[in-house]
Amino acid sequence: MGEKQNDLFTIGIIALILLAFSVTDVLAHTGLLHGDYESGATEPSYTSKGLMNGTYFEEVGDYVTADFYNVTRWSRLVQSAELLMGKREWNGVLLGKKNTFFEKHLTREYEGTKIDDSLAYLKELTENYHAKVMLIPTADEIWGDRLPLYADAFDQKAYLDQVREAVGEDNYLDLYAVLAEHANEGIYYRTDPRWTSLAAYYAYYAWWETSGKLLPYYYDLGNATVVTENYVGPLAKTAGLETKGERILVFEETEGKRVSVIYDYYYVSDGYYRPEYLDSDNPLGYFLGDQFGVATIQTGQKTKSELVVIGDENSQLLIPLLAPHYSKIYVLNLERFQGKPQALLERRKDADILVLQSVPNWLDLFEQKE
Amino acid sequence: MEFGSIVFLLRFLPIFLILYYLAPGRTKNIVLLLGSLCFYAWGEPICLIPMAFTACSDFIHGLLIEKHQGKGTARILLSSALFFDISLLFFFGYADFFIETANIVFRTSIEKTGYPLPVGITVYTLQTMSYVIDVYHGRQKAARNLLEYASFVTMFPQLSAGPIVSYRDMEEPLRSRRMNLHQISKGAKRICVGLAKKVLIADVAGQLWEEVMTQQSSEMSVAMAWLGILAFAFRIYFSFSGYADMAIGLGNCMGFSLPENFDHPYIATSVTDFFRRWNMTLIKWMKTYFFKPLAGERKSLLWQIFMVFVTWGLIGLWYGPDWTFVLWGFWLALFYILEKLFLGKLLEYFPSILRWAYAMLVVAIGLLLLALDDVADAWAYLQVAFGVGARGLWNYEFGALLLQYLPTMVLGVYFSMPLADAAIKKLEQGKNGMSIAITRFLEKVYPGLLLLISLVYLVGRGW
Repeated sequence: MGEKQNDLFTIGIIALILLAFSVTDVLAHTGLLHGDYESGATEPSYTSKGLMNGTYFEEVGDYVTADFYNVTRWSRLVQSAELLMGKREWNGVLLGKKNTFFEKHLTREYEGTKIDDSLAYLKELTENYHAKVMLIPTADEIWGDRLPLYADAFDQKAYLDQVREAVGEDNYLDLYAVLAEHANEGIYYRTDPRWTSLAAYYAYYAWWETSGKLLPYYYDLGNATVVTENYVGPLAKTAGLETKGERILVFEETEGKRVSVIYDYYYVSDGYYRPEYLDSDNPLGYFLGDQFGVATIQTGQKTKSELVVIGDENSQLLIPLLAPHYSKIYVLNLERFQGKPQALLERRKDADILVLQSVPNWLDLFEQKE
Repeated sequence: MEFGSIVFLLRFLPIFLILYYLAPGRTKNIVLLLGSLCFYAWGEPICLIPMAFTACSDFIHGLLIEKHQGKGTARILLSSALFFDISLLFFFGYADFFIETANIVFRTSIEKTGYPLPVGITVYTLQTMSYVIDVYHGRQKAARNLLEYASFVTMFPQLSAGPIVSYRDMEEPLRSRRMNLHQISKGAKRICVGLAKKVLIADVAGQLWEEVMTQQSSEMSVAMAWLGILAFAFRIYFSFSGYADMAIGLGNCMGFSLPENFDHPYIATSVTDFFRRWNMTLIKWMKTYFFKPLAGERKSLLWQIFMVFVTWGLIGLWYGPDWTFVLWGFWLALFYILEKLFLGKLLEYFPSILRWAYAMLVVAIGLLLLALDDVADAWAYLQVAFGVGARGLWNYEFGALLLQYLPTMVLGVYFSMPLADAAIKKLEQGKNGMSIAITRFLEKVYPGLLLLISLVYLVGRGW
């Protein structure tokens, strides 16, 4: 090839690429080509003010980029390339081995007064009430071997040891040991920061063994009901990576007692499970719903025992299993509860109290206090 | 409009180039002018006002200065031209900066104008100023064709970030330029390289810098602080040099030959050497049209030192209306002066690796002033970089970030040095069949490949 042909070839290739991208995008916007437009970008509306101050053009630029022909495919392609080059974090979410997504819990974010305050609170709680502490280590602790190389994850085990020492052996249930024993099973969702029904199942039996209560019936591991096969959790969605859906299992409470759940003192539901959530953004709301400050559950049981759970969205998977042992269960989400938790605890002085939430969620409550 | 945007690359550029190549002879200037105005108006149409005013003012002043050449009137006309240029630059570019400063110093509460810094005002103002100064000194004949002159002032390729060109170099090609396939092909390749520098290195390094900055200084390890500095250094260098490459490439595609603006500044072995490699056309302009006429070799040493500081303070201000930018200029000026006085001679006794380490340390510390909003933040960051108040020498967060951005950082290091050029040269000189085949393959394929990857990245990441 002579120099002239070389130059023509180079110009031709470059022009072809530019034109191919431009023309396909324009054709797609005129409706002559079909592609995906999942960006949800809306066409900017023209205003003379926007034109003069440049915001209109800026919005048009953003729109053209966001609504590009087959934008999601390009996005996936970029992510695959980044993955190949060693990228393991997208939008603050880590992608570890076995396609497991992790929330970041950095060492520097879980230290200092947060730790001290939380320990002091637990100590006081266990000294003044019938309280038991069941803090749940998250996936980055139990599945630490799946984390990407050099991923920083604060030492939840060390914190839990401090908790055990602060509240005493009798008031502490070692969920770390329980979950570590079953670490090779599906005890956490791959795409969601929460534990699974299976983990809740193991936790329930660990609790029951120390509770001194009678076992109403035995849940059969093989008989768990699959409520959905295609659950993609918020971590995968935040990362924007494509991944297979997962199963949501449930060990349904089968006694058939008449149950009522009152959310935040006004909304009433007649069961532990809320199927309407399966088609929502938060299918795990299937277990007792979501976004409430306090849920009061009438279990229909004849016992006089009552339970107050200081919990989060993890605890909701376990509560139906605890129900046969109590006539009334109060589920208190301190992050959202508008009232005074102390007053509620004082009114239920004789009730059992269970601190049942993930370690990071628990510690984050004390950040808010600061 | 940004060079690294979908709107520019996939809408404006193809349409513009098709029209440009279809336009016969001198009508190409009309297409160039209209295209430049569209490019410019895309950001904020109001920004066309100072540009149009500057172009007309200097065109008329140039003619009048030439008419009165050698007379006192010419001097008055030159002052008048410069006054208009500087006033417009001051009003549209720096008024709010000075109002803010005055409000702090004098405790006044003067209301700000609210005008954003118009894109390119710092480039075209320097270009038109140099034009009238050259006409005054007789180094340049006054332009007689407003279309050609307006095309020069508004020419979009170099407006965003340079290179700064003089009318002397552009006059001839503006009048008649011959384009050939080789020049267009060279330009197209350069555009691809520039785009890749911006999209694949500068933008990704920028992401890393943003990630580092999510931490407070007190939470950083020493290694993290230096990783951040390196990321910012790559971000700023590859942004500027990527834009310069695209500007030069676009110039080539249109039949112009624009000057080089960067020459691997991060291999400099002294601050003086850094000045020879960083934003070369700006520094040359400041030397030619500001420092030399005002500092002069016959002036006292103290005055010259003072003028070096003023010159570098203004260069800092050219990058943006912020006192930290001025301080950046002062910081580099200090070492420039020290090198001229004694340090330069002293450095000659050291091996080049140590001279490079010294230069890069000074440059890196200076970059912090460009990177951070205020001096206190820069100082806190610097302390951590040297271990004071740092969270250890390194930590897991550093390891994770480094691994994540390793390919970009390696590319950054590689392309900061003239290694790629040397490798290509070596391949070109190779006589065996394999090296000839590789050279030819790369020559043909790599620009297209870079363009393709950059476009995929731009589209995919934009979502």
